[in-house]
Amino acid sequence: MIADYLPVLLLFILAFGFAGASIGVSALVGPKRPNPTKLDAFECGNVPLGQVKGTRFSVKFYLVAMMFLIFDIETVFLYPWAVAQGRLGWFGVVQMLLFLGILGVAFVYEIGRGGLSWD
Amino acid sequence: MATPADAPPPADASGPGGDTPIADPDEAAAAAATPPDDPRRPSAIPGLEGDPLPLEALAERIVNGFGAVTTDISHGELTVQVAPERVHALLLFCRDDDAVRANVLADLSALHWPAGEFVVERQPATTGWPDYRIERDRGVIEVDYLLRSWFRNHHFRVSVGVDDTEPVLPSVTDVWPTANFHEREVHDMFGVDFTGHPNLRRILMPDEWVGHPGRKDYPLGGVEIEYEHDKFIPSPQDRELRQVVGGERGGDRHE
Amino acid sequence: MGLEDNLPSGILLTNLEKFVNYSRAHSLWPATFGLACCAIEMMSMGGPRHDAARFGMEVFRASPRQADLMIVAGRVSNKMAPVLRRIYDQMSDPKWVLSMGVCATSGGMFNNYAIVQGVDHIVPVDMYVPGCPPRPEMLLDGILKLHAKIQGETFAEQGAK
Repeated sequence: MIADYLPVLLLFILAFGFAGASIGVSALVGPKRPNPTKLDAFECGNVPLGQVKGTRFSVKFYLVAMMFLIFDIETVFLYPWAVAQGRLGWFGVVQMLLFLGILGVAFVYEIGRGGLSWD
Repeated sequence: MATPADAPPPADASGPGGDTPIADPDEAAAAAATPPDDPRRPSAIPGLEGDPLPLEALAERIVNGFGAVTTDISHGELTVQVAPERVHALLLFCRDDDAVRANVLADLSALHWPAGEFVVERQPATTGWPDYRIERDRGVIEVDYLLRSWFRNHHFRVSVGVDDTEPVLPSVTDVWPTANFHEREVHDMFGVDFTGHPNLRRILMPDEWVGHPGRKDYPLGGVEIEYEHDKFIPSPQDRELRQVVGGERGGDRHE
Repeated sequence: MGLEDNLPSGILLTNLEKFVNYSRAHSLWPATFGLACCAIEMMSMGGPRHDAARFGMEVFRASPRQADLMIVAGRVSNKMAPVLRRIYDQMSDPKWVLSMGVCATSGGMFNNYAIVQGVDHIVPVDMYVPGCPPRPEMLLDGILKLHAKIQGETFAEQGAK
């Protein structure tokens, strides 16, 4: 049974191998002539102002990431359930509906508290 | 700046402040477009409502309203000359006075008249215009403000001369904010110091450039090129080319 | 590791050099450095009539880190000169510079205090294309000559730049 997945393994090896070889060979063979300007940030030719380490991002991005994480994990649970639904019958449906219902409450709460509006 | 909310009820064919309807539809539309208390509405000053004041009348208005300026009308243009100490007050007057109402500073530029004797060469051999000489004992940087009025439909120039050894003028960015960049350019090119300017630095040349390139005593720069303008240059076919490729006219250069 | 820089020059690696130079020459990606009127002709060169993509210049990269060829198209003023040098420094090796038009080559008609009299005062130039502006066909001719030049390069020459 695991032998069915041998082509997938071969594909992975080829993909990673090609990518790795491209990067590896150009890293090995390519010319190395660093200069301070080359290693600096690109700012259309001007000397870069502003810090790179200390740049602050809006907290909205963090909020979006958290929301995405929660509902993405919910979706991840949906996939195996969908595949196995045939063998689970009504029990599976009711279980999944309960799960979705609990997370639906969270969803409604989020909408109500304005978590989905960007500003 | 009138927002749409300021407009009166549209298509009301009554005239300004009156109840009798205006027969002419264009006039009615024009009267309905501006509310009665809009300051931009043409007032009772003669020469307005589209017709610009004649330059003499405008000059007279400036002299009467402000005083102690010289006006000059030549080639169809009005130039008002003022002393540097009074230029800011004059420009405020030009912007705020109802008849002059110069709401736009179209341009702020400068001109350098250097001290000394100069012969202006005009290549008389080819042009036929004779050379002439000019002498000035005091170098002057003339700063010109080109003013334009949308509402009164006229434009004129205010000119002020400052000494070129220590050129100082008050900044007019508080009168027209567009003067910000123009004054920076004049400062960069001529060295005029505008007091009260929020950000007086070089704008065209690099920040650490020394010298003011707009002045007449600034060298032209570049590289020496020798050109004898009355030397005959033969056509390309007759010239000695270093490498003639193909036939007479240079041939087909595909490889 | 930079093997390429440390390879011995001579006849030992000529075939490899030929192969490497062929791939480099025929996939030159230009960095957009259109400053003035020559940029319009450079854009026409990238357009459909005089197609630059058929010579490998598939895409004009805006970022210098992804570009091989810097086509300096237009007049470089004294204020722009440090910016030009910085962009050139930020390009990754191997890189080439093509100076397009007379203003980039020698200051052109602007023989004055404001314009750098030739971009070779700032960056090392591999190909000069005169013209004011050069027609797109002329620029393509210059690029093809640059291809020929790149074909003939050895690893040591590229390393010495």
